[in-house]
Amino acid sequence: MMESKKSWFNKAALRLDLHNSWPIWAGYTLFWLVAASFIATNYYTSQDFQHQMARFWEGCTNLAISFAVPVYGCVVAVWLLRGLFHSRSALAIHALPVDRKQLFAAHLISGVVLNAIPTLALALYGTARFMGSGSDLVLGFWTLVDFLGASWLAYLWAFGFALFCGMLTGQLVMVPVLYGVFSFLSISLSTLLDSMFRKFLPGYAPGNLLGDLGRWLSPWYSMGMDVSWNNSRFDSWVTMLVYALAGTVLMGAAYQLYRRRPLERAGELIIHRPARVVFRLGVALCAALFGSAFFQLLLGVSDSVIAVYILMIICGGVGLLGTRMLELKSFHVINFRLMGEYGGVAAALGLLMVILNTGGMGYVTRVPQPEQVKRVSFIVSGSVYCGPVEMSWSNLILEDPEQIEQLCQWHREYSQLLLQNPNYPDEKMEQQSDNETVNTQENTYDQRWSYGTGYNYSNIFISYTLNNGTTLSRKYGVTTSRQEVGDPTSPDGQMARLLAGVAMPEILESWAPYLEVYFYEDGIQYEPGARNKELVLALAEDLREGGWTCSLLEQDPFWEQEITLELTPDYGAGDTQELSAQGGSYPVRVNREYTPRTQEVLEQKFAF
Amino acid sequence: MIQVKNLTKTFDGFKALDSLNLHVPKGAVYGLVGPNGSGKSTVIRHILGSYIPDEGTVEVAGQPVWENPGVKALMGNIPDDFYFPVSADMNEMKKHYQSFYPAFDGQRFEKLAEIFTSIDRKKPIRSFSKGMQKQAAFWLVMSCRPQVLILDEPVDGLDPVMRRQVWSVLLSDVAENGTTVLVSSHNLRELEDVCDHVGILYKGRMLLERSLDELQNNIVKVQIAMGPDQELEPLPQEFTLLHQTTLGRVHTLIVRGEQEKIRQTLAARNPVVLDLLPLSLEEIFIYELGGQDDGIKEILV
Repeated sequence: MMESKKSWFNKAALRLDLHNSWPIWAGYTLFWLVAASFIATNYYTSQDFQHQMARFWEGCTNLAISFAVPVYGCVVAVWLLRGLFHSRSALAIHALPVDRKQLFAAHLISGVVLNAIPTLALALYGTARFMGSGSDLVLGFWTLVDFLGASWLAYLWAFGFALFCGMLTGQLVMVPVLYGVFSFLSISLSTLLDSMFRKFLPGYAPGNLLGDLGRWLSPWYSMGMDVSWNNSRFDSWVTMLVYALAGTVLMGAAYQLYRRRPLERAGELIIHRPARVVFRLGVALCAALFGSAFFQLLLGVSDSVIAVYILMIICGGVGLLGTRMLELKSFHVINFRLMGEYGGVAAALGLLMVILNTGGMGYVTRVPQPEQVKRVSFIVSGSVYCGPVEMSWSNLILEDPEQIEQLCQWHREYSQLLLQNPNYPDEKMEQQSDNETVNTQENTYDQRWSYGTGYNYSNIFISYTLNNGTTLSRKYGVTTSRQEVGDPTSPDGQMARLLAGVAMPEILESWAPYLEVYFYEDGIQYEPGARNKELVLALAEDLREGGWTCSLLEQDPFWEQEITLELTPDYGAGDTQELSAQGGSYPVRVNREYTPRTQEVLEQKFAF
Repeated sequence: MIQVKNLTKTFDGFKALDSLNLHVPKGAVYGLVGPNGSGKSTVIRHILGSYIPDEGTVEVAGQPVWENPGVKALMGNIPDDFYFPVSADMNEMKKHYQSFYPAFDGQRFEKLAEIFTSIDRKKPIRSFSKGMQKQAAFWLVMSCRPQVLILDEPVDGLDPVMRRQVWSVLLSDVAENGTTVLVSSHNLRELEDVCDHVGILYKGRMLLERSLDELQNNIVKVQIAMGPDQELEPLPQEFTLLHQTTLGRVHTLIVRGEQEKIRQTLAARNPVVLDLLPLSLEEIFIYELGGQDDGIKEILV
């Protein structure tokens, strides 16, 4: 490279950057040699000699991108930018005959050099260690290439991101702080907002966009969690390339910030004036959300919107004041401007809480008309007293207009209930725990049911696909009480009927080939035979015809003894993912009136 | 050689420099003086290309300084508090300076070693006393053979012998090579000995900027005593009375104006005693600022 007035390259600046840098790269090299020794020893003990080298590089790659490189990238950036954080050194460096683009380019080249030395040492060590071990050297070589590619892409992100953080602040310690916080901030905030929305916005179902955004904007978290391998080859190149690209863009942004960096602000928390306001308000909002979440748990006031809001504005105020104090390095920070900012934060949080508390601008009560709906995807986790199977994560598709109408009606009534009282499911749970006796003599109750006390809690996720192609998703926590299941007018009763009538038969039919059916008579187990499909299908048919909530039926007087069917997925023969997820066995009481086909099969096949 | 035009700089709402103009001719030794907080260091940091001007221009050798390594290579700078990297010794610093400054003169570096004999070249410079660090800074900067030297309290911390030696090296550079020097100091007696131009800064503005001769010719201390029945009449408007004290019949006036005209005007009033005395730079500084600064006004009263 020619050195000229216009050149980006300045040998003297590079020399200054790399001067005395040996503790940085030597420390990192030592770390890798120790870590690699452990990883190598681990795979030496493996009997899979052929894959030892590949596994070694796989282990190194995972360690590199989930921990070592993100930390080292930040350390290198802090080292290279160290002269910027004290007025004396910053002024001295910038009075030298070198411009900022040359200084920045020297930082970039130094960053590459400081990573190249340890990486090269590790590559040599790993290759030498497995050279005569009987490993597949070709596969090992390609995995080494994967390691080099993935770790360099991760470094590109980490170094670029840390440079960007360094250019935002004027304090050395703030570089790793900003770097660490930004690496996890998005995922933490999206999780926190998600839980708050769920608490105060009944039916709130997080869209994939928010989750994906939170994950992608939390690079360290994402790289640590999302990387995968396929037959000893690295398989997450898209993720790594996206972050490397982001790192490159951030390097460009860091350079632009550097060009405008006012050296007189060395030592200040945030260097650039517009970023200060964003930082202050950002800290205030984060403090409001995190602080209120913490104190809600501590004080047990999570159900009260007003209490949560008060906690938010207190924590937000503390965050705002604290940041201002750090900015000015003084306790005397309260003035009209700060009060104005605080008022803005309080108003924004207040507006958020009002929106949440008044149904999210129609969000809570938004239920599509049945004729607008093309299809409904329906997932239930937990138990709802609706048939033999206590359903778990059953993914059901409703396309029958009648069933869709039934669902919409339930949804509409349930959302109205929640609008009036967002804590309805929880309060009902408490009532059910307190009430020992229930008046089942009311007209709406079917007297043939065994009501008793008790409740089940489940999550119901509904995703409507509308005729115009859009989707509308909602998620509810539903407390199903035994009493209300018997009341066809109650939302619980409606949901139980819907599930029993739609979901259970489908599930049973699809499971039939894999289910073992046992039945008990007076505690003695009978085995009617492996995979009694006929019995299961008969039961499914009964359920479709309205034999829902069989587990709640009173013992039929027809039977002299209590007979219970137990459905158990046969994992040996039917080891499907769906069945594996269910587990357990489910009791069904046989009743002449409600399970006639089941009874028929039992009579014919087992001589009851 | 150094041209600053309408330079304005604001720090968080505080106007540190307010449309400042400064002109240092080539080969001049320019003393930049002003009370604390008047903006001297801020101007210097702009001239060194470290600060970004809010408004105005800063040129050295006819070229803007900001982001101009070519111009910066012509300049040597000794701030009040020189920065040395951790553990760097004199030999390492020499290498750094050699790589940054094309005009770095190794022979001169070795020659200057004869002056700075007390400096151990293999010892970390940060372990030196403040005075020794300043000597090290001089040694390095003078070895770069700068065409423009920017000095901020340059001899502060040096012992009297070293002060003389340093000034001697510096002034011989000015004489031999036509080096332009901008020096900021509160030691006005010392500046008076070395400067040929002076600029007085006050609250971010250039109060006055003249050659020292012009300045000293333009302001004079008059001691005048009138006869028993005579009163000292006010001076004509063409002269500016900066300060006046009266002790008995003896009046001491600090007057801005042409010395000879002042003498003629006052002599015409037939005083018993009339003496015109030149003012030191320190006195000029105090009396010039006396009209502006309330604190100084109080001292004068």
